[in-house]
Amino acid sequence: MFELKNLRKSFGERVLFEKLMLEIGEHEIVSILGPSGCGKTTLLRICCGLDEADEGEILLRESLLARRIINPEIGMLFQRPVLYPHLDVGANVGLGYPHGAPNEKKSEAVEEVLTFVNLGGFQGRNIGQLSGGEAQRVAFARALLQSPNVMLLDEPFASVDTEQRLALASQTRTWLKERSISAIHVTHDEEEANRMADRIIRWSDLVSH
Amino acid sequence: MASSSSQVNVHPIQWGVIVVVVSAGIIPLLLGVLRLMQVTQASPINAILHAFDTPLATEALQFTLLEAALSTLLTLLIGIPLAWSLGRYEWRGIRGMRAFLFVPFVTPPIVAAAGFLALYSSGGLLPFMGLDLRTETGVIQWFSELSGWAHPGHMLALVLAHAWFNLSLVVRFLEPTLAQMNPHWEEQLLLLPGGQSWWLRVRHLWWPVLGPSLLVAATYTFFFSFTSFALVKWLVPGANTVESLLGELGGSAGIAFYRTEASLLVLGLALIQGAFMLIILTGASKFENQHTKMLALHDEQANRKLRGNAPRIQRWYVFAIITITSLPFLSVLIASFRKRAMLEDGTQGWTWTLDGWRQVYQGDASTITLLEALGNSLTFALLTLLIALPTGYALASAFHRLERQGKRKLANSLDIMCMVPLSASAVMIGLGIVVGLLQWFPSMFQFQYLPVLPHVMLILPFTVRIFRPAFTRLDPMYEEQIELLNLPLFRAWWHGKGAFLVGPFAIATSLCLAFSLGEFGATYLMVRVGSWDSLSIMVDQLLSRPKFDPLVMPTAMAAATTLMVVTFTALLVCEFVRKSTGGTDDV
Amino acid sequence: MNIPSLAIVALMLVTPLAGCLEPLQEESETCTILAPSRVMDNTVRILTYDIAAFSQEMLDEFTTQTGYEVELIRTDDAGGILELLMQTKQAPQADLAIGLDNTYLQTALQFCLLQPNDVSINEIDETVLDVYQGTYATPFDQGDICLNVDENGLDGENRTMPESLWELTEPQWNGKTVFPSPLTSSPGRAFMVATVDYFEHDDDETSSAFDWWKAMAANGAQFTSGWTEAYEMHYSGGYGEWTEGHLGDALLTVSYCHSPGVEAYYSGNWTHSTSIVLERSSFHQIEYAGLINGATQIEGATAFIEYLLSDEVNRNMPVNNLMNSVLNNATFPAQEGYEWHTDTPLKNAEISMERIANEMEDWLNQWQTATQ
Repeated sequence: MFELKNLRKSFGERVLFEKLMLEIGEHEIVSILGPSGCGKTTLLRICCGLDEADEGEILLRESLLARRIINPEIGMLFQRPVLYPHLDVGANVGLGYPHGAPNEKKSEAVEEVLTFVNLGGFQGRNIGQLSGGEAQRVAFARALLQSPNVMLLDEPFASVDTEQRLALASQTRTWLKERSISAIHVTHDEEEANRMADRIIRWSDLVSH
Repeated sequence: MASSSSQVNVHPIQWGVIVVVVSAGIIPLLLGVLRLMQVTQASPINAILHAFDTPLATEALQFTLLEAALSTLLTLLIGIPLAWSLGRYEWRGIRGMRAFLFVPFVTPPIVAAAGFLALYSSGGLLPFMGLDLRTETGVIQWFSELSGWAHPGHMLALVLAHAWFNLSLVVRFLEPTLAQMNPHWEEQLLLLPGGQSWWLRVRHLWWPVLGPSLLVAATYTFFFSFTSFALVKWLVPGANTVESLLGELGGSAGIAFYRTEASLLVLGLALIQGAFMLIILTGASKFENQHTKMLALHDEQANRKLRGNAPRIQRWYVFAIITITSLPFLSVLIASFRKRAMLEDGTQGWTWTLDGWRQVYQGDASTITLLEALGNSLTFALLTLLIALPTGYALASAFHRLERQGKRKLANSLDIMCMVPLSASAVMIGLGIVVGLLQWFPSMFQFQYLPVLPHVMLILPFTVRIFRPAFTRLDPMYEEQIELLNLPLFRAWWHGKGAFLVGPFAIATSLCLAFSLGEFGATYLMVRVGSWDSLSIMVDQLLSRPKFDPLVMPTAMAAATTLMVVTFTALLVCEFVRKSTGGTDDV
Repeated sequence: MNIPSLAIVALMLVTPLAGCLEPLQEESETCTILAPSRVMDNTVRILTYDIAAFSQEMLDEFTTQTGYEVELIRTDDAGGILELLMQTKQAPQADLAIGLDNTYLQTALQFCLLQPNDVSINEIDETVLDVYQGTYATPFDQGDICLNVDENGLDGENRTMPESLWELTEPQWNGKTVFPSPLTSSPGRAFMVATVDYFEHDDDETSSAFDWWKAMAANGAQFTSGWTEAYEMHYSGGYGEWTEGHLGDALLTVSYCHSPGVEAYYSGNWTHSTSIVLERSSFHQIEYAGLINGATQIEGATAFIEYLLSDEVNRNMPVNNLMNSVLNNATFPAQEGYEWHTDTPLKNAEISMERIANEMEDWLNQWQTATQ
């Protein structure tokens, strides 16, 4: 469904990866396990079009994706929660509401995902009042509301405490499976990977081709 | 955090300073209004209604609003891409570029007027390129005939000059916002349905983040264009803004039984202008608060590296703007070495000469020597600095202490009262002194340093604006620690506070000197005894002379060049002091 | 308290004060001579206007002869001289006022801005003294204020030499005329006075000068604060075409009947400027020098007036100051076409100085209303 073929990326003389091959099946959740700073985030940025590889191809349902072009079928959750201080919690989450969907159902949908991440009733809150963990869950709620065909998750629960993190990982898996969303999930936490993924790949294996 | 009461209480001397400043700011203006009311036997309301009933006044007001609006629009059109390019990419020498783009804002208005006059007049660069904004021939004439607009060239000349002047405001407010903006905001939004289209991204991100910065810059640009005097006087012959009309009528205002109509018109116009300026400043203050809140805490350097070098077209644009910014300065300098002459073939041309410099250096019966005028300007500037700097510091410190006591509203109210001169234009302040203060205390005409009064009134609000946020950023912990170390008074002050305020001190000093050296409107209105002439007034007087003598222009330009060089030198010295003592860029 | 509230409070406080301010009392007719306001020094300070063309050589010669230094304080126009005198009445900044003419003088006398001098007027032409021969002001030059027109703009078909002032309100003159304002300029004021007399003596008894001014304003006439701006910047027939900042958008302006002579003198006996000499459309202007009330250097100022009236200086007024001498049998120089290109008015306006003094305020108000 989503294929990465022979990707190469370097920064100056430092080669992050080359001849990287990865294939994600329909509705499959793949976790990539690796330490911080190894290049996992860069890989995800290349997948969603925020960055571009030196060489290689990315295919979505066998169609070649243009480089550096954002594809609306691919969404990403950043490692640090990216919330907009001029919008309240509800409006931040609402940015993930599908474009063209009926407006009258937006508020209901927003409340649903907020409840899912245990932030029911937070719609009107100022994001400055949120803790780190709450902020990350708001960002996560927005990603869930967006429900793209391919979801890229960059250490999505890094700011959340351990107990909540594992619970969220399970909930996320449920949510993705119910909506048949494929996902690439990067983390350095093996337990989290186990809760989330259909398949776990170690970064060292991925880049050793 | 606990703090000693001596740090928090407002000192009696500071209260005294507040009272003196508020009085000095309000009394001349109040006396001026009272004098005009006495001479005309009219109330402020009647004077305002009369002004709205007088075509001369309403035309001036319409022209003012139009030119200020057009100037603001053009400034934003040029400034937004410039700030965008500077804020989003890595530039070698970005500090130098910012500093150079700031220079027009502190250039003496009369120097700017002289520079643009040299650019637009025959022999200047623009006519050479086929753009005759002065006599409005060629493409300007075609446009005038097509549109029915009487003098589009003059309006364009003024609007361009205003844009040149105020461009730095757009860069000053917009560029830091862009540079410090969290880059992930933009990236995340690109990946969300709420950011799929350009319009959605403007609605959800760009306008909320950049809007306040743009509105502050636009409001201040409008404000300075609204009160422009020297540029209007020299670039738009025959048209009047409210400020230039006040300047023209001001000489006959406040005289009992003489031209009462003029006094009535001055009273009405001054009040109308004051009302407009209050509205504009209120808006600017609100937008500035929003702008400050929106500045995200993000490392500027990291942001620039994320985007790397600017694309070529943006680099060309930035360098073009920098080059164009330098043109008026170069025009003034070149014009000081050039005088018109009849060439051998009988045509009108130019010759290179030092005669203008010789003439301005030695002076004549009508003008003092260059060195005397320079001495006057520097004396006024240093006196202004000696008064405005410690006073501004004392006021800002007092307001900060009131805030720490929890009396924020009182601090803000007193701050506003000290800002009253800011809501009066330079010409109005000059009028207030001439019509008000000097009519009640005529012996002050003999006081050689009288021009320092309007300079201090105009500059003091800026020094407070610089010091007050600096105080807010100070960590009280440093002062508290110092109290425990039993140091002598000055060392205690220096280590606890002073060392952290080098940057603001340097910036306030450079602004004080630059504004005082260049002050024109208020000084123009006051009694001009030849021997007290500042360089600014000297330039205007020389430019006003009948030009059958070809030496008039190079002499005026030589004086303008001197003023320009002195102002820039003062700015550079302050910048050097700031950098060498480790002052930050932060204001 | 926010800014708008502060403004409203201020306005509410000030407005009632209008009723509390006592009306000012007009000064008594007897003028008191004020004590000198400044410390005495060796410099004569002369308050004059921008077009006073005293050359540096002339001023240096005065210093050589008398030992007094000269400092000129220049205002933009003659109205500026009067205003500066009024503003600084209690503490005058100069010793001598030069440039008030016979349309401004009476106002200066009424406001007690001048003090008597003892300069001898024996050599002055009697016709000059007919206008004013008191001791408060001494005439030093004269000239006839005329309309000047650029002959290059008269093509013989569309635009011809006007034979009446009403012709200037016709479409072919739209936007082609410029006048210094009578509110601030002495030539402008003099011409306005002339138009009062002109229209009181023309065939049409229904229209006044101010109907004409209104029609001129409607026909695109421009108004400047001073003579320099009108003549140098706007008028296309004069020296202005060689100067920086020149616009040249006006074919007609107010200047002197001898201005074309001056142009010719400095251009090698050639000019395309000429005067319009319709009866009563010109005004005989006399300029005065007066000791300022409260002057400090009275001796030096008196010496300067005497210097101005000396034969060597005054007979050279046409060249030194571009005006005519006030001495007996004075003429314009014949060299370089000065005299030849100078036009003589057919008949100057005849309005007394008393009438000017009594009605000037009213005329200025009417003029302002008509031209706005």
